[in-house]
Amino acid sequence: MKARLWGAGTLLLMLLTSYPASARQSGGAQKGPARTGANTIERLRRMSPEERKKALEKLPPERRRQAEERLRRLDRMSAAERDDLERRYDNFQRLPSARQELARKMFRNFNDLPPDRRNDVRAGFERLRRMSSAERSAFLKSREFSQQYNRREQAILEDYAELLQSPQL
Amino acid sequence: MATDECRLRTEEGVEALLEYCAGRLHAADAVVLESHLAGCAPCREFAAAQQTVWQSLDAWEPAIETQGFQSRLNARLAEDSTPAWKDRLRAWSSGISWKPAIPMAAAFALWAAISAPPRPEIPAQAEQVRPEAVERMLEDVDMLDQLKLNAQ
Ligand SMILES: [Zn+2]
Repeated sequence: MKARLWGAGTLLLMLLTSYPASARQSGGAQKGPARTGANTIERLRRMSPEERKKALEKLPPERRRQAEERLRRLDRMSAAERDDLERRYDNFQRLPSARQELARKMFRNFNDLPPDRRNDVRAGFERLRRMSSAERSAFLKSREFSQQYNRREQAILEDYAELLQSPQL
Repeated sequence: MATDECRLRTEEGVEALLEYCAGRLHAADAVVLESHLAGCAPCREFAAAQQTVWQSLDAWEPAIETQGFQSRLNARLAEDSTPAWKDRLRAWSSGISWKPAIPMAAAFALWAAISAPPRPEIPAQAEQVRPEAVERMLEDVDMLDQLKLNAQ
């Protein structure tokens, strides 16, 4: 029996090592259209401390620190929060690359704001999200908007409003 | 789908690109897609980015793999886009006595390697790009979390 299992094991091992990596990637639990980001967060989170270190050590210190902090944030999330984020990450990957870049640019500009201004802008995001498309354009042209936010913040909020128009978002 | 219609314009097209990047697109479709990629920079860029994500994640796969070989093989055999060789393997493995398996395994491994679908060749400097790809994934995830983009 042992020899039999060993023979089977050898066969499986040889099959797995001979099959191209691209096909191996798709062989896991992920199925159907959610393949792009499938398990991305779970995989990121399940990296061992050693793997995390190895994956990030080539980054400049400040960027590495930020990436580590982001991993810790994932660690602190509940399973439900991670699932929700996983789904949204997957949708995000399906956006045209120009939209993805717009989102990243906007997020970097947002992160460069002083912390107290970030809170105000975050409140602006929240507000925009609850508005209809027509309400948004009216708000972005309003006096209130130009008085409450400086030019830099206005640009961030305008980008955010633009991104909310994406059908996938 | 016409060769020159940009794949990024339709959900179906994006789906085909994703399948291609995962090495799962049928050979005939892959040829058509590749001729489009040759002339379309946005699609090439998209495909290269996807490939980077796959490569980065694949690099960790061995370390975080928790399933046994058998369940991985089962998952592979159960894939919906089953190539003919898998059907043959399934039929073959259900009736087999494993005793003479070792020399056969060598022959079979060679056969599988030859008949497996080709991996798409999309330029991506895997070694250099990995930390940045990880960083980008983390940034994207953090962004979606903090900005509640596409939250319900
Ligand atoms: Zn295109």
